[in-house]
Amino acid sequence: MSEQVGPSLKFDQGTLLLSGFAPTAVERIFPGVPWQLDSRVGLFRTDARWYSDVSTQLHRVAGQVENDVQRWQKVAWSKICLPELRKQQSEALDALNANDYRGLVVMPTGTGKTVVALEAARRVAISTLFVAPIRDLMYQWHRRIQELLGYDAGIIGDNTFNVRAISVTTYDSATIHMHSLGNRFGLLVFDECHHLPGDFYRDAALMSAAPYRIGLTATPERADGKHQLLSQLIGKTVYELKLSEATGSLLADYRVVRIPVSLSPVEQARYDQLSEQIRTYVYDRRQADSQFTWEKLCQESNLDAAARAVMKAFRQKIAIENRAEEKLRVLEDLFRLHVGEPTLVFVGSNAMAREVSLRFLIPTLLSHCGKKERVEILSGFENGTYPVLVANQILDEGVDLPEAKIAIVVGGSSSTRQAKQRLGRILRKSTYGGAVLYEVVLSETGENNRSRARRRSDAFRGSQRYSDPQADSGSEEG
Amino acid sequence: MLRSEESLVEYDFRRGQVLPDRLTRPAHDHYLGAVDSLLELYRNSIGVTRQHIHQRAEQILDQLGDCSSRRVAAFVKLLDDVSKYDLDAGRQAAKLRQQVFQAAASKHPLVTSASGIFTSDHWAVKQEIARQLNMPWSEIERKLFADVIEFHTLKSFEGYENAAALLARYNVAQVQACLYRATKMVLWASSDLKTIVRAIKLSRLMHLIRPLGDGRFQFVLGGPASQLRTTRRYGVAMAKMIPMLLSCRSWRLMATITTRSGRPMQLQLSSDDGLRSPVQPAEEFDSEIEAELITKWNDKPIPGWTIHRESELLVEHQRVYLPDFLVEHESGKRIHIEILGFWTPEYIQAKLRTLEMFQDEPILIIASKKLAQDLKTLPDQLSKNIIWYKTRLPMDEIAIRLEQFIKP
Repeated sequence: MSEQVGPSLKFDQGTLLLSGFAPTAVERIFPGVPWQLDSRVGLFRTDARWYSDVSTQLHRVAGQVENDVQRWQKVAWSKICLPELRKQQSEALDALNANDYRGLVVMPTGTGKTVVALEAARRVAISTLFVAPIRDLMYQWHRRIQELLGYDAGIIGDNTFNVRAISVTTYDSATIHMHSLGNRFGLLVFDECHHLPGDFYRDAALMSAAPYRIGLTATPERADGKHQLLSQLIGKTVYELKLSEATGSLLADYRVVRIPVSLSPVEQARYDQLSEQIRTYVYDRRQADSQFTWEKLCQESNLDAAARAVMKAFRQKIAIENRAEEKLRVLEDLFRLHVGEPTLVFVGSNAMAREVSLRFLIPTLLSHCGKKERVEILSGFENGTYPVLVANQILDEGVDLPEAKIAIVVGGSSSTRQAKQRLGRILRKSTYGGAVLYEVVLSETGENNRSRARRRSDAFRGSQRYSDPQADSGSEEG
Repeated sequence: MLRSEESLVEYDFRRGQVLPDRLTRPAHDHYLGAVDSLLELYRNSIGVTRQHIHQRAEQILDQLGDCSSRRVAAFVKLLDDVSKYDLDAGRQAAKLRQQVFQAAASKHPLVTSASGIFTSDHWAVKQEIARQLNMPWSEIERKLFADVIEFHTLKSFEGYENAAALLARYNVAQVQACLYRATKMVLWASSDLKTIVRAIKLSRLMHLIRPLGDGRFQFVLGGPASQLRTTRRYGVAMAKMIPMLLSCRSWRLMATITTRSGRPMQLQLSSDDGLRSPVQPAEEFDSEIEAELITKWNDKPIPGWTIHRESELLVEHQRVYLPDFLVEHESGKRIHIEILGFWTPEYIQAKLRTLEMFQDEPILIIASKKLAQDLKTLPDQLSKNIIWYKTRLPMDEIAIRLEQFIKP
């Protein structure tokens, strides 16, 4: 229903509604903006993300348009505590500034992206929403904003809905709530922004009217090619720092040592039995259908008992790989070897993380840990109370860890991003000098292949003292 | 409600249809026994960990031979939905972990057997901590991760009436879970329109409504962004309408579900599909005064007129209005009746705006005397058709006014 009032522009649940313009005028005044006539309300509608263009175009033609989209406000900082910018950080900021604080900043993990974003927020000084992939990272932003900008940010997520001029949230919550938050923030900061182009998450950008948008990532590319969308959702890449440029200057040197372990006789027997079961099934199926794929098997397993049994066998194989007893013994050896050196252990499952934690009585960061416990564990590791910390995927991405010298990866799957980020954590410029990454993998299993894939990833190629895959097998370097 | 990961569908690519998993009789009669065992399992598992209950449930369902892992997960979710797990034990766990890890920190590394500079035998350290905390190590081990979701223990189980009820719930839940992925939903309906319009309002979806002329209406449902692009954003809201919809008669819907490869497929559903609504049909009347009108009318009908409980849905510029009743004269003339009793001032104001929009319709307004002040602003066309009542409905006056409508 179009009510006959003056021309106006409104924010409506993540979209913009335009009234008081004839269709021909809309086309003329807003070239490039995909307005759609919404017959349900008799008005023109488009995604809120076009606000920046729309408001500029409106300004040019008429001063009389009622525009009540913007609900964001100016922010006055009281206690700024930002560190002096490093060269690369100030280059990144200049680049953002030159593009009106709209664009991607691509920097390896550990090179100070957070400070770049916080300094940008300080300069823009309007309501800002920081979007992080997971709850832990959201709290980490909250902490950094408190420390460096002296602002007690609002929290949107983790069963909290406290919107303040400066707020932190997760991609999930941002996506779910953006229809009501989209006019409250003028600047969006997307941390690990390679998540944003996902079918669901992109609403977090599309439904916001924010004219200023910054994306932070070490790895913008996505396997599905959707990273192309980032330029629409955030902006073009304004600054990129290559891992090779950062290593040695900003990041510590590191070394990779691979330790193959074997299964115990009991584990091995079960493992072989499961492998045989899977092989026989797949062989039989391929006889009948040469196109038979693993993907097909996964689909069938929903409805077919035999396929389901094979899937189950496969999961049991993975579980054996993840939890081989020998790995606990290797861990003990490594702990002995590096006693007194801060060590992080990454494992392949929550169950394995608990097993390691229980065997060595070292803290584990799992999803059930509350905010308070996380803080206690992380600060305990930082101040040396806890010599070792064990974690599952929860630390895979961007969680700021205190300096560590030794990282031990037990199991886990390969992908460029995971490898880069896991490495990034011990690459962090550390006062301890050369860091070591141990990979504890089963020999003669699929896990070994996954490790090879991981080593091939460019994160490893970026290493200056990358040990030869053939040379290090079986050896422990001291 | 299920989560997406418990959704199970089959695709009929030839007909372009999505078929949510459905367990029917007699094809799945063998499920009744297994589902009975599941209910018994939960009833008998108070104090048992979630992990253990889930494993047992899986074993029971595995024996059926055709119960996929998604079906298992869906049943378990529906059972957990009506269960309460004990969260108290978990609250102590974080504190216990801190005590244990702090006590062990200075002993790192805990080795299998002490030798040389490594003097912390892991077993000896554990015994020592157990002494310090005054709790056997086995108990510490059991409590250390009690807040992990798999280790929560069952506290109470509300359950389902019987196996058939759980199977009925399962079928509805699978339809809903399938709809999470819906990008568009079109609904055709001809009765229970009051409940349907209310379900749409509660879902906060937007609709494009089209009267089809034969008493049926078409509703195209979506959200603001549906107009701009294909989005699953409103799928959950669509799914939430289903229970209320299932309590209605004579409707049919078609939802567009996009497959992972991007191919649009259709989910079809109707009131004839035999799905059992988990909610009661809506109350027939909004207020006692509405019920009174029907009772009085039935006791002493007004000659020449028939009253329809099912009123007519009026549409004007995408604004919909359902008056309380429709009365029809033998000549075919139809008059709407709106009863205005006690409501909040906001409700009355909204109602007055609606009435103004539909002032060209023949509407007889029966209003409480207490609203005299509020109704002063109504345009003449409407205010000339107001009948006031104090406590009881003046049926004679209603009869007189209705006759006036059909006078030439």
